[in-house]
Amino acid sequence: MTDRRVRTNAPLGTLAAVLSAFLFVLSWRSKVVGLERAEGHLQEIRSAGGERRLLFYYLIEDAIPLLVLVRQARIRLGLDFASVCGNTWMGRVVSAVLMRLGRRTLSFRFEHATLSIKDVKALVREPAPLTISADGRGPYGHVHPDLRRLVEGRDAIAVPISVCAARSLRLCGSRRVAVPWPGGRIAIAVGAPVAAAVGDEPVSTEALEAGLRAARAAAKRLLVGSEPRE
Amino acid sequence: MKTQESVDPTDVVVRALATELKASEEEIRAARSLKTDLNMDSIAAVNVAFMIEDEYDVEIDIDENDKFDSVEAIVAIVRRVLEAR
Amino acid sequence: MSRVVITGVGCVTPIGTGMVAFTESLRNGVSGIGPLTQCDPGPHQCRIAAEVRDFDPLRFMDLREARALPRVAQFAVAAGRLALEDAGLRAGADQTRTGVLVGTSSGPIAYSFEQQSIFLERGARRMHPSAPAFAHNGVIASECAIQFGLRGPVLTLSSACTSGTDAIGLGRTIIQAGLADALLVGGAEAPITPSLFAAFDRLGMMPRHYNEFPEAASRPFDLDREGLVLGEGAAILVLESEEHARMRGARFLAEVGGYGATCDAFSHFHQKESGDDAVRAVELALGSAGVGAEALDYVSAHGTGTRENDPFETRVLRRALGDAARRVPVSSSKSQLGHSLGAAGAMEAAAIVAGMLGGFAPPTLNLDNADPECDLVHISGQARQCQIRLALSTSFGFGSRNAALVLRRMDG
Repeated sequence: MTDRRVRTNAPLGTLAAVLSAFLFVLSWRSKVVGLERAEGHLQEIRSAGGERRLLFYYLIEDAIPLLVLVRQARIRLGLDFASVCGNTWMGRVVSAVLMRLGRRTLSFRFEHATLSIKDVKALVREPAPLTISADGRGPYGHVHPDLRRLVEGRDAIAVPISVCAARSLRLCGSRRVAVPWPGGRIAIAVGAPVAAAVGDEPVSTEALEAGLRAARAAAKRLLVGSEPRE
Repeated sequence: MKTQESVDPTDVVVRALATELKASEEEIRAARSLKTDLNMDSIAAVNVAFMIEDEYDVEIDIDENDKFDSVEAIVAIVRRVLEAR
Repeated sequence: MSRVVITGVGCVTPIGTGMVAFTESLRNGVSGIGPLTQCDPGPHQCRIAAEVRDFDPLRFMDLREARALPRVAQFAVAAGRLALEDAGLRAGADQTRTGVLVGTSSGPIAYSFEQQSIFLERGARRMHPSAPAFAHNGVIASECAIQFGLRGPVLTLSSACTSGTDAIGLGRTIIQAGLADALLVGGAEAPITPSLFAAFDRLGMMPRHYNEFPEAASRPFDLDREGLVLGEGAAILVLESEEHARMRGARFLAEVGGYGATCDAFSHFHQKESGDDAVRAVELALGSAGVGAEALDYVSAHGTGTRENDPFETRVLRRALGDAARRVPVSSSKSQLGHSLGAAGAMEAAAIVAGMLGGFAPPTLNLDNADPECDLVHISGQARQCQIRLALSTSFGFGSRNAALVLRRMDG
């Protein structure tokens, strides 16, 4: 099901097509490390979570490596997950690419005061698991405080995910955009779920950040462990 | 609790805002902008909307022409939803 | 040639009005950046600015003047009055050899746009009749002259982001040329108006991911810097010839030791990558001060926090300072003050004087991870206690301009 509110237009569609083709190149012959273990973790989290909904969160610099995995149809996270994309031009392009890949997307129009309320409502109510970047709106590497509140609003289990490539190209000198080298190694790690038990204090931003750091460290270890031997 | 539609939604709206924003009803009524004066962000606004929806057993749908930043604006939206039912 | 000294400083800034508040805020690493309040932040990607909050023009002028004057002129008058008080130069006395040289980039732009809106919406009859006299850059200097009775040369200088530095440097030249004995010099800027803010936003030069974290937004030299934060305010210095200052028993704060100004003649938006002319501006400033880079104790960088400026400036400083670049500490007070365009160079000079008198060098805030391309000796996070006897200040501006000042501490 595609989101009607994400309006695709001709230039956006063209850009999405180009990025999709680019993803094909990036994913060609890339070696994914840690996938089985990640899927095993996800299965455990799902089983243990019961009725509680899931919210997968990741660093914005993992967005393109994650897209590569999705492109390869190697990572599913659950067939029905919906990706939350901001309404920046980059968010709209990523959303268009995801739709081309057959994934569901939900828009978050955070720059429009009233529409963001409408979108947050939809996110809180959405039954399917969500994927969302932790630092897409805010400073690099920091979990945005609103993510904590979204976890609380959904009474969700927050699951940190880290996807990193052994070698990547940083665009425009920014740490926010990491493009994996084609044919390289990409590691995925699913971190320990962060959830508040009933009656406990809601999860803290610090706990969410710690979860991400741990997932990141696990992904990096996988890359080291998988280094090609001479 | 389901409220009858003949009740002016203003009181319901003010109570919901006071609960969510942890402010007095006087402060709520006096605020010109809930966002600026009482730090209401989108997640707080959604919680308020949920409370009102529970009260009236309706779904509040807003569009880009609406404002959700004052008691009057929220009351207007609630009235519109109730009349459309 | 006669030495030109600074005998008083006044300022209106996002971190404080007056040198006492300004100095304390600099020393304590206070950030003047917060949510944008002077125009609707809604449509913009960047919704923060370094605004002068709680500015009460009635402290410095009467109600009629405060109502009529554009905000930028109010800032200049306020800073000018504080500077004159600091210098002990009586305003209103016969001052035929005292003038004004103020730098600004956008001048009374908000006022001009407002009059334009009035004209379009309500017609010519509703425009203020004084609009022609106020809607030009010259009003800033002329208002100062009128308020303080200054009858020497009265000029407003406009050279984009180097205006403040140029005003101080050229003020020195004017005094050395014998055209004046004393000058109010500096910069004033009030650029936060909806359309200009929107234009900067569209240029993509301002941070987009720090709207909820405004104090972290200005990050010169940091790996995660995203651009400049627009600021406003004014800083005015009283410059005098050494003879004039000694004659009236003035207290010396510092000397404008040297000045250099060049242009790449290249582009409105970028400096030439080689940085040859920028290096030349620094060399001219050091040369006219009669010092070498090894004598410097501190460099106040232009340090806007844009992706382009900071590595460029690093290369320029490393070339211009040579071996001294491995030792001399550098910081950018734009991390606290934002970028007030034409006033920036003057605010940075005021910050150097504050540091000289207070025994510290201001920090660069938010320098959590220095960009490897910006390998200078950074003062990150906290002000550094040190004695600054000789300082360099650099400024670069639209139009590929370069300017540099050397300030020397003077006791007496």
